Amino acid sequence: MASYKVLSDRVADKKVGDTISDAELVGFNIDALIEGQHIEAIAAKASKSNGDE
Amino acid sequence: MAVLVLTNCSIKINTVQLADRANTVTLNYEVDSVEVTAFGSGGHTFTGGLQNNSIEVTLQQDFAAANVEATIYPLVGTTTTVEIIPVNTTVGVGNPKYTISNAFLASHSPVAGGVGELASTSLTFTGGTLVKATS
Repeated sequence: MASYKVLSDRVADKKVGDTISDAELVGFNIDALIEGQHIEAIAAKASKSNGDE
Repeated sequence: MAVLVLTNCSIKINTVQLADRANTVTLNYEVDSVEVTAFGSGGHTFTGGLQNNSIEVTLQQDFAAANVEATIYPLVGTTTTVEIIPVNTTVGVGNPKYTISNAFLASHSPVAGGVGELASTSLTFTGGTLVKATS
């Protein structure tokens, strides 16, 4: 599940710095929100290596 | 109930609040009339078909980051959700929320206006499905 950081104070029910999930953005145009600098994708954290290599 | 003078609508386009840059809004709720007239009818008879909705919004142009232009330009040729509330406060029976999902934006005028006039863009979202909520 992708998550996004809110960048603008115009996103409904969110503040700047809040996190918003793609589940909350169903029906909305996520690409347009990113292009419009309202949100940015949060990079997924790399999974920990098990050290077997 | 009382009459309402529109002074503080909520207008969210693609979940972005743009009411402070809007000065007109019209939500048209329409259902196609499908003719079912048959022999023996005394006149035309219709039944309801598909919703045929539209929203017209006039926005004062603003090229600042995360403002009108940044929000609207990427939406042209795509669908999104538009939400209108007559008064930007608690939704209820006396203040319903109208949400159109899958509304299509065909055009936008990034630069429009005469000399000395405020730059604005008139948008028309078409299609989609309207839902009215009172809570």
